[in-house]
Amino acid sequence: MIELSGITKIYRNKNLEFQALRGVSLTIGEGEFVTVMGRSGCGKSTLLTVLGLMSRFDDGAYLLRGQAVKDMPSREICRMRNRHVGFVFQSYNLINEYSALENIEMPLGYAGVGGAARRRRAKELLETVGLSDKARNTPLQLSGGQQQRVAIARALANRPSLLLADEPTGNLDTGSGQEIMSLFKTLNEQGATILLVTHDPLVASYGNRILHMTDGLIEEE
Amino acid sequence: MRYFWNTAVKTITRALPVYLPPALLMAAGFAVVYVLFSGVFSYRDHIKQSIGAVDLSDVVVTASFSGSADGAMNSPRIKGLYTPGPEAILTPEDLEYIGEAFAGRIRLRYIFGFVQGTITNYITPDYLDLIGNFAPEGDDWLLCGRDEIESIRALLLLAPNDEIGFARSFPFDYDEERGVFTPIGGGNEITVYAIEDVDFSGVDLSHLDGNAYDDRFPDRPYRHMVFIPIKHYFDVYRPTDRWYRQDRQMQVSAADPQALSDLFIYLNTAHQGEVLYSGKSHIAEYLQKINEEMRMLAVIAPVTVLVSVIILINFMGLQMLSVKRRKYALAVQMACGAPRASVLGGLLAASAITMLASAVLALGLGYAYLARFKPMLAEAAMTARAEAAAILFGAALLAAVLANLPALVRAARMSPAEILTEQ
Ligand SMILES: Nc1ncnc2c1ncn2[C@@H]1O[C@H](COP(=O)(O)OP(=O)(O)O)[C@@H](O)[C@H]1O
Ligand SMILES: [Mg+2]
Repeated sequence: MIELSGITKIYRNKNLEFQALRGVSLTIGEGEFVTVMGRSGCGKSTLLTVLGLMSRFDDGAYLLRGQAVKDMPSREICRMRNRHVGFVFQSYNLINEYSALENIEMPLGYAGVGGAARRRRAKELLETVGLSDKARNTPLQLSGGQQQRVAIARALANRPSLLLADEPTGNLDTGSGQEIMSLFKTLNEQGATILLVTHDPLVASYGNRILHMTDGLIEEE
Repeated sequence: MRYFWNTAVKTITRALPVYLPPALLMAAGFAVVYVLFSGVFSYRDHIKQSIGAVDLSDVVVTASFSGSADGAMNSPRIKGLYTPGPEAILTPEDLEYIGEAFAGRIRLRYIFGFVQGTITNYITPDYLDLIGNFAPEGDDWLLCGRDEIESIRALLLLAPNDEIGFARSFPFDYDEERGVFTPIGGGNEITVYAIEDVDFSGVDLSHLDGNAYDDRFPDRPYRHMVFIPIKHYFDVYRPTDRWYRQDRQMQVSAADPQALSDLFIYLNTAHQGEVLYSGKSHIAEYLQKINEEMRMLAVIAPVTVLVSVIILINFMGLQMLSVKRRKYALAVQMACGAPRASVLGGLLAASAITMLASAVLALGLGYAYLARFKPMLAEAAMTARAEAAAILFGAALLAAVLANLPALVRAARMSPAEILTEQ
């Protein structure tokens, strides 16, 4: 599913440079549930955005489903991101003007799914995350845990083969956090490949494989 | 594609509280722009209409001598040494100056004069064209009635030293030996064309001759006319020559009224009031008025544009605020796999829709205002103008694009992750 070798990423801001990834190599197979642990600032989010095709990397090679990402044209990157990657953010990143249903419809819309089919699929997903009765609520009318479940439903919309989650429970109380984690567990059991990033050992323990990250490098456990 | 518009419309309708106040403000400002431009265009059309009423190719400039008609006679002409006095209708200096300063702006054509006995005030351009066509080769020709040329010849033979004043006024010499007319002081033959040979069909002669179509008067006044090319005319004509005082007209065609007005000013200044130059039927005054209006328009138009630009810049500021708020949405859309072009296009579309909606509202407001108050701008009735509406919509679209440009440029370079961390 994912093959990384020697990935580096340097943030460049005017005259400041910071190397956030120092040569990450990593292979993740289909159906794995991998959790990455590490202190704040060690480069977890950076790694995840690279994996999720949300930012570019500098050196190294990244194969996603056997395809080299480095020289992929930007249209193709958008397409891959849309079809094959589901991304769950710590801060949900829902659009507040849209209802829960409309937020879930977004990736479907960009995939060219027509109106009726789009709504049908979005409702199905809401049911999966247990929020059927909140279809018309806007994010601000939902609790944090509910918002994150909508975000997960959105990430799942196009049945991506890879689900990436960046501290999905970071903003949630323990109860809601556990609900979200069991949702991930279920999704993994249904066949989803998941890479989840956290600084919480309890959350990390949900994974089948736990990786540690320090200063932009991965070390397997 | 459907989802693209769906998103754009959703963006606006959901964020109405954000979009509405600036949109309403914009509508008010746009209405002002629309009304101002309607005024400018109405005024411009009014001026155009005024100018349209003057056929600039048909302007006959009349010079009237303001001195005494019975003033001192000119000193007898010495062949070859004649120089026109300051009172000549056009001096060589005039011609030279006009050639330089008015090049391309005005065209002097013929001078019409030498009508014995008949005052002819109107001469139509087609008539002059006819002469031009008849004698197209340069200026060395003379067109007049057969009887007339005979009497001129006889007069010149009889009184070469100007005993009766005529020879002084005539621009050509008669070469007795060769039996031809020549320029003063001799030279190439001046071809003489007989007016009787000119085909006048298709020319309305009633301007020239009130009895042109009355068979009871077979003797046509135009048979007594003598047409002389302008080049030779200055050489001879002097307003103090009583004989031919009545008809001194230059046919002038000008591309713009300003040129004519300038010509009048020049001639009247150069001749220091000895001769008054003016267009027929108060055309000079009329053109002067148009000129003033044009000058006024030249002041109003830039002010209008300036006001509009200031209004637009303010709106762009308002727009930019909402664009900033929407950058987050852009990144989220991209994170969900929206193609960059679609996301940026959506931003533009939403902005353009708001701007255009404001423009439509403004159009309604402006139209209602114009219909209700019909204010007067000078003498031009101010009416709603399609051009003003076009400017309005053009400006609205331009503002939409410009307001989004910085965000577009940034978003086009940044990855979704970068935009999201920037929030
Ligand atoms: N846009 C950025 N510009 C500069 N430095 C950044 C940027 N994003 C993150 N960093 C730096 O890169 C390092 C890794 O960041 P991040 O991947 O967010 O860490 P984590 O998610 O593990 O907390 C941090 O030291 C952070 O300060
Ligand atoms: Mg992080």
